[in-house]
This record gives sequence, structure tokens and C-alpha cells, in this order.
Amino acid sequence: MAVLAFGLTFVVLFSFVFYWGLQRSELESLSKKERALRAEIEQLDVIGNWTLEYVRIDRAVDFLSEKKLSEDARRRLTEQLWQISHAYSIDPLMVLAVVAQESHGNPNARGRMQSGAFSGALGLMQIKLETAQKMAWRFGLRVNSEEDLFKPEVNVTVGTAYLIRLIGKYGNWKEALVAYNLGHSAVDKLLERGRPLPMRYYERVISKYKMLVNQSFL
Amino acid sequence: MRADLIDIQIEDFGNDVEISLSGSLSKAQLSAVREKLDSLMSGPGVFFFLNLERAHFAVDDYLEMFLDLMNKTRERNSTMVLLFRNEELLEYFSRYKNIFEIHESREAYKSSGLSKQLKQVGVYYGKKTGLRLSPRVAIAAGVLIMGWLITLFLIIAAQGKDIADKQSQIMALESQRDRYVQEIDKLESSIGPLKRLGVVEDTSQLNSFGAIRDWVSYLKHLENTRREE
Repeated sequence: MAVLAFGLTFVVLFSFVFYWGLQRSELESLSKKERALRAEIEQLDVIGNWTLEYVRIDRAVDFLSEKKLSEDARRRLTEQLWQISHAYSIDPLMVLAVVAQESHGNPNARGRMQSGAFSGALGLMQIKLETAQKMAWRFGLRVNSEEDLFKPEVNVTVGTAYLIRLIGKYGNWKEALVAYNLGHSAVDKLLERGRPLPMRYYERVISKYKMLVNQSFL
Repeated sequence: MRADLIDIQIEDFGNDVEISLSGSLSKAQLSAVREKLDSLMSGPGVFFFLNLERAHFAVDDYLEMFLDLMNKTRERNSTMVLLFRNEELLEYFSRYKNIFEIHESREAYKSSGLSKQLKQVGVYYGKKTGLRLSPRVAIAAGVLIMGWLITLFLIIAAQGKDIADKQSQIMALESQRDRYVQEIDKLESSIGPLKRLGVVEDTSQLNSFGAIRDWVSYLKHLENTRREE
């Protein structure tokens, strides 16, 4: 009788241990699956943010360029802006707002002074060849001729680099944008003399920025 | 007369010495038996087996003699084991059955390592009776086994709850992942066909993103190009 009881107890204990082993194995397998899913979601979160950023730029570029850019040029500009915004943590729509103010999205724009004479400013961000070459050299790019500045991706890269440099110099968007328009020497003089900066250009850029934000709102 | 006979036989097995004592032993033989056994057990040997199966003790004085012998052997780091199986001797030694090592034979003693320990805690095994437990041991064993069973049951129940929690977490994560994939798919399809983007690499090695594999590959390409530049 006692042997039977012991035997029965042993069988029950063995069954429990066996079942425990099975459950433990299932738990480990579920934990592994959970870890893999969390890693996948983390990656998807990054991809989601990248996609969102890309779509915002794409829509803004689409709106801005209308039919002034070929499909290929538009794609290259979007890619370039996406990469710039990632590399320098700069809002790509702010760059596009400057593009809108400077050239209305026309990659072949040539700047004119009030007299009608050619100002030397070229392309989407209205960069002068001399400034472009200085900036390009600093960033390891090559701008050989005016023709290079009519390439949207080159122009935007050089223009953004110049803008980033001005932000670094003045520490804020307002003075940086005025300097982009008037030139940093003119802004330095005004600041030295304690005179107010002309805000018209800055306000127009900000207004265009808001318009682009609304346009690319998802 | 039987009372005058002292029959002692000795068998030597190295460390084991078996001394067989036979005959009817009264008070008259006590000192002679004590002397003889004392001298034998002072000699070489570690285990002294006193085979008393054919001995009859007429007086209780022998009990004290055996106690005395046992103490002496212990002092010499030896062991004294009494060998017999008859009821009369069991009755004779009953008062000291827990003090003396009593076995049926030398072989029985050799094979009694575990059973001896079990007996000490109240577990007995016999061919006729099977396994028997003293009430206290039975209760303790029952409580112990019930404790095991309850503990294992609780562990398994907790495991079951953990598994259910994990499964629901996984379901939630899967649904979150699917939502992400759908949202990304919706966003990227708003841009236009991927062909237009031009840069779509071989994506056969990417397996986590299902429908948006090409898009993920494209974005990774852009990011890698940016880093290289």
C-alpha cells in the first residue's frame, strides 16, 4: 500500500516536473519572440520617422516646384534635403521656405538687382558662385561653374551649408536669415551700430515656412 | 552440563572478525565469557560481529557485559555488531535494541547502509510486511510530499499566468507592428511607385518588413550614402 502510494506520488511529481519543463520551454520561446518583435518595432519606429520626414519633403518640393523640375531632379532634391536634414538636424521645410522666397522653386533662376542687372545669384537658393565655391570647399564638394549651381541638389546643399554657418555665427534663425539676404557684413555693421535689422525678408520666409508646413501636414 | 559449556568460534575476514558464541550462559560463565571476548576484541579488526544465534543467556548480567564491550570497541574506533534472528534474543535485547547494532547476519549488516538510516527515522522494510512507516514519519513524509505538490502546482500556475501575459503582449506587439507597417506602406505609397525612386536594391535578404521591404531598403540606402559622404 505504502509502495503504491509512493509510486503514485512519484508519478504525480514526475508529471508536474515534466509539465513544468514544457511550460518553461514555451515561456522561453515566447520571450525570444517578444524580444524579436520589440527589436522589429524599434526599427519600424525609426523607419516610420524617416518615411514621415521623406513624405513631408516630397510634398513640399512637389508643391513648390510645380512643373519647374523634372521628376528625376525632384527626386534627387528630395533625397538631398532628406540627407541634409538628417546630417545637420535642420528642418528641411525651413530650407525649402528659403528656396521659395529666393527662387519660387525655379532651379534656373538668375538674380536681378533693382536696376535689372544680373546680381550673380544663381539657382534655387540664389547662391553666388564665389560663395558657393568657398562653402563647397569647406564641405568637400566641387562647384566648378555656374552650371553646377543650376543643379537643384548641388545648389541646395551649398545654400544649406551657408545657412547653417550663419546660424552658427548668430545663434538664431532671425539674424541668420537676414544675413543670408543682406550678407553677413551688412548685418554685422547694423548690429554694431545698434540699428534694427530689416525684418521683411525674415517674415516672408517664415510665412512661406508656415504655408509649407500646412501643405505637407499629414 | 550445558551450563558449563562455553563454545566460541572465530572467523577472520581481514577487517571483519566474526565471533560465534554458543551454549547456555549463566552467571557462572559470565566472567570467563567477558574475559574471552574482551581479549578477542582487543585484537586486530575493525568490525566485530558477535554471532549469538545459538547462545542462551540465563541472566541479565550479560547485557551489561555487551554494553561494556561495545563501549570499549567504540573507544578503539571499532564497531561491534550483534548477529541473531531468534525471538528469544530479540526479547532479551529489547531494552537496548536502539543502542546495539543488531542484524540477522554479517551480509545483512553490510547491505543495511540506507535501510539502517531509514530505520533510525522510522522507516522499516521487510519482505513480508513491505514498507512500513512510523506514524510520525508517515505524517512528516505526507506533509513534505504535499508541500512539494502544492509548490509545484503554484509554480505551474504562475507559469501559466506568465505564458498568458506573454501571449497577450505578443499579440499587442504584433498588432502594433502591423499598424506601423500599414502606416509606412500608406505613407510611402502616397509618394508614388517605388520604381520612380530608382534606387531599389536586392531585398531578398530582408524578411522582417513584408510589403515595405523595398522602401526600407531605399531609406537605408539613403542613410548609408549620407554617412559615407
